[in-house]
Amino acid sequence: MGNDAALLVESVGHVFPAIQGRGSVRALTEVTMRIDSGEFFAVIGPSGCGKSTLLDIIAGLIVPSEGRVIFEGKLVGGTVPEGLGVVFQEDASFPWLSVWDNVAFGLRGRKLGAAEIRRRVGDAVDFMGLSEFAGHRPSQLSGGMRQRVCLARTLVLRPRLILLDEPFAALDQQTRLLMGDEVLRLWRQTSATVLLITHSLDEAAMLADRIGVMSSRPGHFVETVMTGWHRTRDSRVISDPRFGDITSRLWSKLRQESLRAMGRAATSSAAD
Amino acid sequence: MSSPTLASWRDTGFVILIGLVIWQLVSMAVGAHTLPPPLATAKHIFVLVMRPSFDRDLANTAAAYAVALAIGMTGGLALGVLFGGWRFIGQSFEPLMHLLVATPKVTLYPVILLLFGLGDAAKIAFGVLHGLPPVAIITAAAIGNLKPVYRKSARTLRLKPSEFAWRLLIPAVIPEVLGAFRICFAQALLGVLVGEMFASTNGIGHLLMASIGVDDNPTILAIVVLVFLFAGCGSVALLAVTARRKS
Ligand SMILES: Nc1ncnc2c1ncn2[C@@H]1O[C@H](COP(=O)(O)OP(=O)(O)OP(=O)(O)O)[C@@H](O)[C@H]1O
Ligand SMILES: [Mg+2]
Repeated sequence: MGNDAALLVESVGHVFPAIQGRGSVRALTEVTMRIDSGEFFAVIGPSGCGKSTLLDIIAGLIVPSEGRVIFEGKLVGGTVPEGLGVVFQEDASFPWLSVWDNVAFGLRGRKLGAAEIRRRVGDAVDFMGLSEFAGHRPSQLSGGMRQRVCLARTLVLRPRLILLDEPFAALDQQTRLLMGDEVLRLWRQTSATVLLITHSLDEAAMLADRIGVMSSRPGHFVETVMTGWHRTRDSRVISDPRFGDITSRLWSKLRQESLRAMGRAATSSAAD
Repeated sequence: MSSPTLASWRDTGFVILIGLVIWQLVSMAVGAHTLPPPLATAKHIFVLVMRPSFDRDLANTAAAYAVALAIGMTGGLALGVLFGGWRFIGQSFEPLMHLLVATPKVTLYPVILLLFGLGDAAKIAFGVLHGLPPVAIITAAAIGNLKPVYRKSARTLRLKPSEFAWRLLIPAVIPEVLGAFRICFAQALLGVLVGEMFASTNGIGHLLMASIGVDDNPTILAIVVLVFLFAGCGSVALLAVTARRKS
């Protein structure tokens, strides 16, 4: 193993214990992966296969029932390690704060001067195209802009590993492609390592260096696809002939898994 | 944003006007002795307020109300935080609060009288009995219903527990807590007045009871209108505070 692995996930499995009449749920089994420093890794998988659970485990929000996670050589467990930033699937912007104060939230209360905070927040707000809305409340913004607020709030902390859990799932196709460009720009400029969870084949194929395809629940990786894109790529790669090859390869794997996930849902609801 | 406010004031004025007209008509129908008309009531309010003994009654009620309100709000808030923040405490004691809200408080009056006797303590206790449980229940619910993604965000933003409380939890639940305070404001007043009616020898509630005893309809109505005005103004003021936070 090289020494510049940003993240190692070793034989991770997770079972949610039974609560209030519902049986226990095995969300993940034997998940193993390695992401190199500066790499852009995407995870795709059918709905409910355990992608968000995997992200929570990597972030240190959930302690896995089996296996272990190592971030920059240190074991992750119970707490969120320094240098790791997360943007969640749900809207996590704070409605009682302006866009500016939302972005500044994680910086306040740290040993940083007011000028430094202003500079960093200003940069992040500009970068995410939110300058005009700095004084607005999240309730005055669209869902996509609120996710950009959350992204900016994570960015100002200068994370070395950024975890993105379907941050653009609620956006229309065009906006998604453009947000994809933003994420690529961010990735190049910060030279951070990015782990993106998505259920969009296009998004994974366009953004990532490598794509891990997860099985239906209990989730584990059934295939890893290299895209071979240059670091300076952008959304225009979707017209590259190789783009079609990648998505069709992803789809052939994902189709089986999605069918299995749906079939399982159908039989279990029929049994109820 | 001046025109919407203006419009809402106009609407309020219109509603009040309709109320006054209906009052006048009903008064004419049932007779001025049974229901004195608005103008006569306004005159009587003036007479009542000018009475030297009124100041004393008002001061008595105001003092008891202030204490009941303070205990209801802070106590309710403290219990709400306890119930919402520590689930096993909430699970054992919150049902008690719900029971307190659901049972007609009249059934508890003898108990309060036994515990506190006649006097100020009893009427304050009545006020607290009415005002505190809603604050505790609403606060606990607001804390319990905090979006899970906020808790996760707090951890990924590496907030300390105290920062989580001050910078995230409190601002997130304040709108609900202010709403609870508005309920407490009205309920505690009701409690204190009822307490004075049954368990006191002074205060506005006692004055009301005495007027009922001698069939003094103008005074009864004057007191009702005064209390109504006070509660209405207080509620509007608290609403304004809530609205300002939102904009
Ligand atoms: N706290 C929990 N308690 C019990 N079961 C849970 C919990 N969280 C998730 N699960 C279950 O674990 C499985 C995986 O959930 P997870 O949210 O990780 O899936 P996902 O791949 O992110 O789905 P989606 O694509 O819909 O976001 C699901 O069956 C879900 O019902
Ligand atoms: Mg998910």
